[in-house]
Amino acid sequence: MLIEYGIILVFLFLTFLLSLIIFIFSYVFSIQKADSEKISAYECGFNPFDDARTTFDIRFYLVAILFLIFDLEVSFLYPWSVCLGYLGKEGFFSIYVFLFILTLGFFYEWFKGALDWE
Amino acid sequence: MNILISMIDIYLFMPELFIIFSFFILLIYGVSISTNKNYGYPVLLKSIGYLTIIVFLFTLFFLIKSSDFSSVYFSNFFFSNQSLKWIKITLLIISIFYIFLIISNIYLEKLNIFEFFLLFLLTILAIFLIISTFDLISIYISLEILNLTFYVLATIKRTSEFSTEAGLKYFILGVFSTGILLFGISLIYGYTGITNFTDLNIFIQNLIENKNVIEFPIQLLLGLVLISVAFFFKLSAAPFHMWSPDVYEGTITSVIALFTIFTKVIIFYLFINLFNFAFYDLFSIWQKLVIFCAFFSLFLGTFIAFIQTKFKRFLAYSSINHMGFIIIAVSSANCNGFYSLFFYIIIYILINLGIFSSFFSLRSVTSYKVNKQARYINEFIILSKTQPMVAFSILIIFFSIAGIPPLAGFFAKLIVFLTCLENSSYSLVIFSILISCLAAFYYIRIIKIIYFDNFEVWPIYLPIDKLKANVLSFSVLSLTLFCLNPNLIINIIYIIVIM
Repeated sequence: MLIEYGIILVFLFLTFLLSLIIFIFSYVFSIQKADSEKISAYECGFNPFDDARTTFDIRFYLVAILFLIFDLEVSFLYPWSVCLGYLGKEGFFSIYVFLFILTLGFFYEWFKGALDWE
Repeated sequence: MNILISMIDIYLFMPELFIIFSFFILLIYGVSISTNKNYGYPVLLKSIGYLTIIVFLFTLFFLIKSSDFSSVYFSNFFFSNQSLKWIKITLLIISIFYIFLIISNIYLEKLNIFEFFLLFLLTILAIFLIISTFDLISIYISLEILNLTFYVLATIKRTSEFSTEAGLKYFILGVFSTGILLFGISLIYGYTGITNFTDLNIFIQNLIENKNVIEFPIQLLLGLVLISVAFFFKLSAAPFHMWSPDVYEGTITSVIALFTIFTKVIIFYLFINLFNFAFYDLFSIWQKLVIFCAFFSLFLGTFIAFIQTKFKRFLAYSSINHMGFIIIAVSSANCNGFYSLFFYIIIYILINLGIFSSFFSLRSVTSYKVNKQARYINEFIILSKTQPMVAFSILIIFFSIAGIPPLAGFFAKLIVFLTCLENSSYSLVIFSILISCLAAFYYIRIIKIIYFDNFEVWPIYLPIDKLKANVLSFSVLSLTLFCLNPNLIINIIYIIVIM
């Protein structure tokens, strides 16, 4: 039974080999003569005006995490609503518990000011 | 499919349910008042600290008054019996002492985040869930609650780069180890189709029952090894210990007290539940794993601790050493072994409470309103003249760790060695006795630095405050007076182990 996995091993090996070839050959066989104009940052042919790096605003990350949480909450609501008929009254009240816990989390982030986009 | 939640589930789940509801109430109280302009944005740290003590006292009342019967609840995911009741009671008492320690420490560390105690409440909830698991899936879920709160707690001091680096290391390595745990669980489930402990026990018994030559299936063995790897990572036992010195050094002291005091008990209880109940017939395999880790931990913990100059890293390596001793006790799968294990852990917790209340009260004032904690071992010079009572307490605590009679640490090591000798693991005992002699050196070296070293400039520290002094005196008195009347600790551990 394990022999059938041999094909996967050969596949893995060949992909590894191929990507290694592409990666290493482009490094080994190219002529690298770096001077200051070649390795400077490209900004439509001009000299760069300002540093391309700014500090990452943590608000973007916070919005992404909050979206993840509440989107997963909604995605749990969908299958519950579809099969509510089979679940009985315990199933009906269990979603209350789930939503209640998440609503408390929502109150917490609201009062902490995570929703203020200044 | 019927979802059955009967009244017995609610009754057995009552302590955890109370903690959950009090967490909700404290969360809304904390966040709605501390962000309120009319009240002047108060710092609610001490208030929520004392309120969590009240919560724990009420939970203690629930637990003491609950009736003793053994049962599984929530459709065989958790179990409850008398041993669990008593281990929860001891953990609650220890956490009340821990909160006393923290309330006095956290103002000095300038960490005014009230969510600290809420995360601690969640930690206790996670601990209660972990020790009452009866299923492989609920191991993962409850361990993940604990892990998540620990990741947040490790980086709770956001202004310190040191702390965020340590927390990030802990997070990445912890997530990795949880992945390994899940892999092991999925291998076992894939082979047997069973996740419940009783079912696994029956399955493995039938697998091995009437055979002359026992062939263990490789998936079960691999699953076992991977699950124990994840557990040993959490315990910081070698060779999975590399995260602990860096994390111990970087995170703030209050949180490190949490890591050292609480994780060991629960992971060992979980380990024993899983390996002694579900995988009991695979004993000959996991005993070898455990002995390998014990040798390694003892060896590494001792020899690397010799060259440490910072106190927190030293503490990390000495705790790896202690884990080596406790893992020796795990390797004997009988009641005596587990008795010695829990006994050692309770003494270890008392010692750690003592260490954290004595050493981490040493804060020196460098300029107005800036205090910094003693970090290097060399900064403990001449404590015998500047703070003689604290120095005497440190003396007793370190003599107890080193295993010097008649203090409690000696009896802990003695009982571990005696149970191993009963199981005829002679080389293990000889090795660990030699290692404990070597380890005694660096504990006594600290006492030498405190009492006998001399220096031109005397470091002067702030005097210890009342709450910390209470915890310190509790620890020191219980360590010294243990030899006179050990009944309290011994009876509790007897109940915990026999069930």
